[in-house]
Amino acid sequence: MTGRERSPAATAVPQRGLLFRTIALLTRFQLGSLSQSAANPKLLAVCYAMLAGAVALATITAAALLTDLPLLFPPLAPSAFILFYTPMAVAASPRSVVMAHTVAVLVGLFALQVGHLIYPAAGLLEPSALDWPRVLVIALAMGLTTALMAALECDHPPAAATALIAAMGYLQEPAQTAGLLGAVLVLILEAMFLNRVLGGLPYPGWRADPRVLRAYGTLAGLPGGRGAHWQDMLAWIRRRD
Amino acid sequence: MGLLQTIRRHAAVAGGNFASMFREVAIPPLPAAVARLLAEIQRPEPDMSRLELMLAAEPEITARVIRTVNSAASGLRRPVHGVRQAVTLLGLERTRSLILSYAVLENLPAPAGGLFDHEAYWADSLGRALLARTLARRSAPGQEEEAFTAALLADVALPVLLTAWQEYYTPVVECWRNAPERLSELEQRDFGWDHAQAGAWILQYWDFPDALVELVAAHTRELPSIAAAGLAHTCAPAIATAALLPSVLKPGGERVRRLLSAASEGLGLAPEDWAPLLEETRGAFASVCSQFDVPRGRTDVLWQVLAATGPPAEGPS
Repeated sequence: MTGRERSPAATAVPQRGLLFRTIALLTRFQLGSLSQSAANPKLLAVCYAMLAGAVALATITAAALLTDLPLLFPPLAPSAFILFYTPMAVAASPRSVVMAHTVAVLVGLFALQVGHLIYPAAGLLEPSALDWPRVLVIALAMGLTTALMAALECDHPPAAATALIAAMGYLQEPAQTAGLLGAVLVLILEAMFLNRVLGGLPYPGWRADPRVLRAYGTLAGLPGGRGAHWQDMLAWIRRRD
Repeated sequence: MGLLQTIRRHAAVAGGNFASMFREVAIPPLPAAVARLLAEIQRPEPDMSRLELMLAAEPEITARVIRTVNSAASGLRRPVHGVRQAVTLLGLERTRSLILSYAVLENLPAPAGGLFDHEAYWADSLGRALLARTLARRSAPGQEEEAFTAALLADVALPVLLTAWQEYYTPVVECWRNAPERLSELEQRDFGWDHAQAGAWILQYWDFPDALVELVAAHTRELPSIAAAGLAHTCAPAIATAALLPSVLKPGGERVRRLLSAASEGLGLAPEDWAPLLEETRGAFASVCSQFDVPRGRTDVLWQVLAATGPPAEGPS
């Protein structure tokens, strides 16, 4: 085959260039490539989620430590789990994550203010207060958040915890609210970098394309972790050959 | 093009990341009307009145379906004019396969430049589809239409790749024109994936039935691999064998020998079956080629080479 000879014409062929070959070598170690040939893709996905999740949360924690900004909130952990364990799922798309957390924060704060207006003596703005007005505030926040996430098609379960945090009065300063939403954005940027570069996955820039998900099995959170049947078949043939 | 963009494109091709590769390609979605038509046909008891109404909304496809019924091969005394009669005569399976084929024919992009020969592409696809149908009639009775559709759509990725990834794919096609290897072998060497996988991804994106997508994905595989994957009892071996039919752009040579060998050893085709099988395929081609805008004489050279090469040297062992 003359294709591998280094002639002037050959150098113009992108796939014969050094850059392409280097990238081709590196892509073999990306999650997307490895999971196609791995005998146990789920184990691989777990290892990737563990590594990427640790890196993402460690980065945010370090940023909070170095800048003294309020960036650490419990809902970030389940969000990171979804972003790195099922990165191709609709719930892990930037649109779902950003919109769900934003809606949840606003709804939680709204429910808290409504409760405070109706029951000013209950001390709802203090996180330690647990009484019947608080029950109503929590119920309102959860119900509205769930309804809005469903209506806006931005399902992202960890956002429900965000609503709860806001409704319990833990976001007492505007800076804390901004910090939470800022941390969500940082997490999304990390997911874009890690999922695309380390994972080799077509992680969406905003909205997930549901027609693409079927090709990603476990990584899209599909039941049973199976990808498209034709891909499973080819992976099986590849392993056999 | 910036370095970052180059790296991004290299990574998409090298990793066989079809979702990234085709994200920016104008793969038009399969028209909703066609999708509804297919859904109606796939129902356990399709409503013929609704089917008729749906087909009426797709005049181009309807016209092709009626022309197919009226083609010389069907031997009708009176030409058919009505949709319902056409569907009844063709049968639901063949109607489905024709709708799928014509819908794809109208939705594929037309690559710029002189490398993509539209006529040759459809002549090759149609020839292989008809051969697959003829072979499936012997090896997997009852799956002839599935074989036809899958083989016809097997190379669906080629025009898409030549449109969106021209700088990577053109050298492969140029190399294929002068090399004895199959296109899929050259693709595997350069990219680590082939057009069967890219085609399966596109058809899956279009929500085609899983079984059909699987057949397209397997069409470049060797028959032992297909059998080992549990597809021996399906029409997959017939499709993979028909996929070895040489292109009208480079008839003859090694490819013919591989086709004959696969037909003999893989499908158990007896030497005396070869001539009638070829004749049947050639006749079917002549009757439907105009529906795919392929001139009747476009494959003459191919049939001549195949006929001259003769039947498989050895029968099934």
